Amino acid sequence: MVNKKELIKNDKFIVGAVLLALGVVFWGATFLIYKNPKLEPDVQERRSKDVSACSRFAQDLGYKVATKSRSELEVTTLEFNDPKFTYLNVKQLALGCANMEPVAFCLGSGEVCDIKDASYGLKINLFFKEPKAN
Amino acid sequence: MSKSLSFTDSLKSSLGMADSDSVDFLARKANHVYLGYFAGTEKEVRASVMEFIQAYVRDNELSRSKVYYNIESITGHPYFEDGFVFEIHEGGDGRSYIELVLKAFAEKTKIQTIPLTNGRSISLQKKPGNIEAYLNASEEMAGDVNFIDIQGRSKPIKRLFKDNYIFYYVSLVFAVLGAFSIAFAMLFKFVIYNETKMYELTTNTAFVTSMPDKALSETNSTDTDRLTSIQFATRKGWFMTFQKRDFNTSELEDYEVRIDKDGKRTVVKTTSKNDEKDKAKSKSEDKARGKEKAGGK
Repeated sequence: MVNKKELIKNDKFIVGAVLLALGVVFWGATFLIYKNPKLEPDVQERRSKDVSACSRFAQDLGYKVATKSRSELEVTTLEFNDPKFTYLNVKQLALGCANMEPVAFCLGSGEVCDIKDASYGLKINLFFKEPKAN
Repeated sequence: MSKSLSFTDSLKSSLGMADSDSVDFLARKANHVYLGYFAGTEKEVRASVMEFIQAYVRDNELSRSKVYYNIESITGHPYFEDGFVFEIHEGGDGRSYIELVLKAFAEKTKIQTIPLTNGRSISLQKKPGNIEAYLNASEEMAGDVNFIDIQGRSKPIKRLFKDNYIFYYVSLVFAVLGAFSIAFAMLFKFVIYNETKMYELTTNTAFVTSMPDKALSETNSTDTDRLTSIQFATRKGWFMTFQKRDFNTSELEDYEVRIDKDGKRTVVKTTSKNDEKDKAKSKSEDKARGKEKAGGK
């Protein structure tokens, strides 16, 4: 029959190893906390603000905005004549939408650009990219 | 004025010893003692003795932390042939009985009795090529025997299982200090310092500067090549799609013109409209064949 007291007493090496591992975890966590003492910001809040600000800005510029997901906006327009003006407008949108990265741009036939009910159009997909925090 | 007694003095008085007697250790009876003999002086015999000791401790479920053992080689003993005598103790003071037992067995003494705790004792009887041990469960069972003087021993013997607590205590201290350190670190981070990081503002200047305005503005459709779109994709970068028409065969072919950062253009063929039609046709034929087979079965 196994004597439990003896078992614990003689397994002190295992207990010691477990304590050592715990100690390493504690000290490691301490190091990480002191290395990075500031709290992480709320990414959900930032995303929500940036996406809605970008949406409003695009609408102000005359684009039609559709929210594809919590992080993605699809901006379309069917009205463009002067290419230079169109590009300038797109640049303005890209610069005005902070933390929203243009992942796709398509100017051309509705079939190629996948724009419904239009023979020609412009479509830009903007995706929220979490910025660096410090 | 009464003289205060030291620990050694009080020990001597409790054991009924004279002041001149030296006390090196406190003699204590063991819970269990076993003594045995193996003939032969070869290394293999010693290894067998060691194996026997370990098996004995395991089989008798002796308390590992209290087990002492000793192996002595004997040569030129008047009764025993050259070989090894060993002893196993559970508890007690960890001092050897072998010297006293062998000394007694060298004379006419046939049985030696070692007192154990709780009135028990173990009797050792010398026999040719062997030492037999009998456990006496009470003082009555032992009868009128001469006990070995347990004070007359001096040689310390080894523990079978070494207890080394250094690693255990070092780890314990390390873990406890670690727990304190993390507690203080969390107190510092969440209560004392309690500051949140600020997001940097990132703008899409890279996208804007990468736009090949001139190239895009100056490119138009021709009689044979129709510009169908101007596109940007994260992986591909900027590119234009064209549709080429062959007037002789009236085939349509799609191709891309990729524009790199330096404005250099690279033509990449995509798919022919006729190829797509052929593929669609072959697919529908395959489906039809599949249906025919299924119907046949």
